[in-house]
Amino acid sequence: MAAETLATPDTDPASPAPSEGTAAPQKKIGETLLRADNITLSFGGVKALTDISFEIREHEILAIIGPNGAGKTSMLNVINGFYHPQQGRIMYLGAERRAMRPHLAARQGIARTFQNVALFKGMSTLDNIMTGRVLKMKSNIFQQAIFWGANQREEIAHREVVERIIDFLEIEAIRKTPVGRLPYGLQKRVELARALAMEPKLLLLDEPMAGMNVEEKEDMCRFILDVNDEFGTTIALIEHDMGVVMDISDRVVVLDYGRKLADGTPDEVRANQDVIDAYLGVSH
Amino acid sequence: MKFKALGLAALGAAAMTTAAALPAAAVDKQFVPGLMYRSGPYAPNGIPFANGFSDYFRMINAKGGINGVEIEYEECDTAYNNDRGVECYERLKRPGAAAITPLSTGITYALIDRATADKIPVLSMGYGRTAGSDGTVFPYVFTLPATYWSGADVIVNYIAQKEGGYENLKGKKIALVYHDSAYGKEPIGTLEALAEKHGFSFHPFPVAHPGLEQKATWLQIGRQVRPDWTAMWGWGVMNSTAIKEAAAVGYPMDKFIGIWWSGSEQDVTPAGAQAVGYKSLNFHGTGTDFPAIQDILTLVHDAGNGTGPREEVGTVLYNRGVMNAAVITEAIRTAQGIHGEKPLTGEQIRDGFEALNITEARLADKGMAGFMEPIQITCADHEGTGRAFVQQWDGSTWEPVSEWVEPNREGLLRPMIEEAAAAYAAEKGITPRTCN
Amino acid sequence: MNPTAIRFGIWILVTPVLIAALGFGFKGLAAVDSSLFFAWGYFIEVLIAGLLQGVMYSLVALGFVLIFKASGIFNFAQGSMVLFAALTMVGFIEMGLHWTLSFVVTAGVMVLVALAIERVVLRPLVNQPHIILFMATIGIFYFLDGFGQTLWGSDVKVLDIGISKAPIIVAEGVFENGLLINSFDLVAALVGAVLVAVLAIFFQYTRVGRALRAVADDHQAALSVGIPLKTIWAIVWSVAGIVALVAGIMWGSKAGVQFSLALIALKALPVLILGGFTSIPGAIIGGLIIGAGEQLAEVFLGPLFGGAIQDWFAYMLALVFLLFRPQGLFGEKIIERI
Repeated sequence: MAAETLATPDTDPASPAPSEGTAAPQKKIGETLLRADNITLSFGGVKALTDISFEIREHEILAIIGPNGAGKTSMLNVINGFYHPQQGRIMYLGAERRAMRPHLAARQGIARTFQNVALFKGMSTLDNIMTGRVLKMKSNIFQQAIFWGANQREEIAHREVVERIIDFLEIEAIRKTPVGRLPYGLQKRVELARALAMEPKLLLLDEPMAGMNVEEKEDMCRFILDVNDEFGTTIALIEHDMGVVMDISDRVVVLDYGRKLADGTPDEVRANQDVIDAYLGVSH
Repeated sequence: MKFKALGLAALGAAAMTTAAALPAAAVDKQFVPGLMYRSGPYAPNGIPFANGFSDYFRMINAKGGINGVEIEYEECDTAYNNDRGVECYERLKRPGAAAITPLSTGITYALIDRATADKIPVLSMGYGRTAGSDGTVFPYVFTLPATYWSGADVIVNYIAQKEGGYENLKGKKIALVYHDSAYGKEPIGTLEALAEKHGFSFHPFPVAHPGLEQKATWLQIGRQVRPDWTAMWGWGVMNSTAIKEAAAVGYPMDKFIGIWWSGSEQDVTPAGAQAVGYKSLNFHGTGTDFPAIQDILTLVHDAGNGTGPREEVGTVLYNRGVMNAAVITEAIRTAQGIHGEKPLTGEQIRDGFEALNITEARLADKGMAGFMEPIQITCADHEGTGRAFVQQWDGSTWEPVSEWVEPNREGLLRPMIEEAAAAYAAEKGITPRTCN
Repeated sequence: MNPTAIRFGIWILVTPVLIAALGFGFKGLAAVDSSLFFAWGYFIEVLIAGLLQGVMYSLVALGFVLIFKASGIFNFAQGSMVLFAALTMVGFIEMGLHWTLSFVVTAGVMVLVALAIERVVLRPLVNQPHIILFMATIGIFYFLDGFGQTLWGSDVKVLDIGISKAPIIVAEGVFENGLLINSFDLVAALVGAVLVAVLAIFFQYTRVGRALRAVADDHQAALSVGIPLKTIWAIVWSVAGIVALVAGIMWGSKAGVQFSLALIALKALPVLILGGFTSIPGAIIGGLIIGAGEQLAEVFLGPLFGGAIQDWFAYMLALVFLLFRPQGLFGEKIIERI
């Protein structure tokens, strides 16, 4: 409840503006949406993250980069509530977050995609995206088993939202196809659609372009930018492809061996000597 | 199975043994162990037996014991499981144990050697190893009043009576539905021998434990073989399932005869009206119209000491527990006549079993006139008469429908028993003792 | 065009051929070995009896499938849930309730049991390996088993909901002795069919069903879209509890309500192996194949082995299928990412 009322004043002025303007720099980066303070996460003595602090600002696209094993996915899992850091805290929407669980994070408006596509493979594209609406549906699971009619009306309303997302991501043709049969690139797109159906405040994308060909990557880049533009959605993404990262993100956080190396605009990061040594230059 | 059984056993044991054991320590008592089952798939049949067994000893104690010696009874839950049975035996065995009641043919098989070595009599009353009734090879095993071989012969003799003579058995079909275990297989040899002798054809049908799956068996019996008579060696849920499946293929109930373990209220009531007409053997009375049973009601149940619910007193399996306890009591009493009126060892009580002679007069004294037949045991013969009668379920009670039927012991069974016992002796290296 | 439809069509075509082939096989065997017996009418009678028996197995297998689908747990306690449900139902009937009313009350009790299991056992063990949860269900098995009997006693109880058990003879003109069909089995099969239809609709066309399928497909993803796993588990266990109740009623009124009911879960295992642990149609088809297969084997081959072969035959049949299709007839294809 509290989360929704907080969100409305911000999203309302933001969304109409970018939809008309092609002038990219006009994008308004807002205040801090989420801040990680001194996060430390370890698994049985092995440190995955050490003393990481950074922030995600409203409406921006933040990229988290780093070599394999740098702790990028662990960081997403912390934000998403799958992992619980031993130290540090997460400030979200101006308040400190307590013990987090994935479905609670979802309730607070955090949506995500996974490195190895986590779709419901037996279900159609449409059904998959519809699951993204679970939290937006008012009647709970028990009520809906009983009140059939009201439930159907609600279902139709949500269906409209989902159809808009389907149009937006250009996946009309595969609406009824079981997602298990789709090529990898399309699955990634369906997963993005499902996350969008949640109308998230914060969208976490774990390697959205992994395993795609050039054309698919271009499409995905376009969608990510469009989402950010049209809906004003804040996006934090992990990506390996440096070209992509530098092109689409507003800011970049660089991790290496669980520590933060740098944090800044793409240009600043590109110029950072530590980053050049650890990542761009030496090890790559 | 372990957790549950442990829990139940603990509950059961706490409920009954503490009550029996508390006043125990002071006076000298005769110890009687009981391997019963109040848990596991056969618990519905095991419980009334165990309650009758325990109640009878309580009644005897309420009357002041056997010549002043009270009975100390302790129970162990076997869940009708052979391993557990052996565990229970090891737990309860002691030199002063009067007799072991394994209440399972499988457990009896497992205990014969151990109990013989420990010099504790095994009373497998109407079950167990039939060859055990040869006292020369099995000095510690008692099978009175009847063995499965006698039971099988009694059934065939009863069928011959109904068919109007043995000559009319020729060309008839007799089927056997049996529990696929040591227990169920016991009568097969006898029935095969009888089939050869009388010229009927014999069709055995095994049923796997626990016996819920009998559809195929009864399709074969009811629709293909169509035997004139069907005998059953079943136990627990197998019995009621057999009756239901028999009814489902339209097999006539009055041509269906169970052994004495397939003829209790627990077996017929689940089948409801379908069971009316079903027959079984028995070797003791049912109901409460016997002074001894009345004593249990007044001295034990009315005193609030009953082991189980009052309503089950008089049911078939309850009364069988009573009879079992009564036989042990008589063996102890007989042994006291030989060795003195004090708690005795198992070895001494064995002498009591071998000298057992429960006459009509003795039965009347015990309040059991008409409850059971007189029994006389000798050193060589540990079975007795082997006689049984046929009872029929009329929808509410078991009604006796025949006289006592005699098995052909001397002419047929005894030689078979001696042969089997000799084979066992040869296998185990036992030198049979001589009896005179 | 649609591969599922094609596969379905093939099944429909091949089945009668297979059955006829089996019949000729048995007939040939009987001609060679005089201890065996064969007649076409009798063969069909046994086949029908087996199929109807198979539906009874499917009823039990369904409960396993539901829980396995949604949580990946093999619920060892399903058998004792069947027993507990039947005991409770009989208990309420003995208190004087009409059976329909006590069905509703017992269904409520099963939902409570499911909620309790979720709260007390599953929730503290969330994110533990499946083997741990499996062990927990073994604990539940013994608890329910003992608790049910402590609560309601371990006597054999009669559960009669008024289904006729009389044999029906049909097609007397066609076969020598007609075909004997048990009316109770027929009703049970019908109940099974209705239950499956209801479950299929529930899973396919309701939002809860969608959430259940989502959880079944991918826990992580389901959590990330905000599906509360705990609620889903509670629902699945409740549904499995109600399925157990239906199975308990059918088996209980067939065999009497007593301890051995918990053991019929063993009969569901080969059905699950054959049908796949995750497929509702698989549980049904698997039940039919196991039921028919074991009855035919017992009747027409049993005499060769001295009888009582149906239990191990069912497992053997399942094993043969397992060798060729490890995921079961309808299970999801197992693709290991290397």
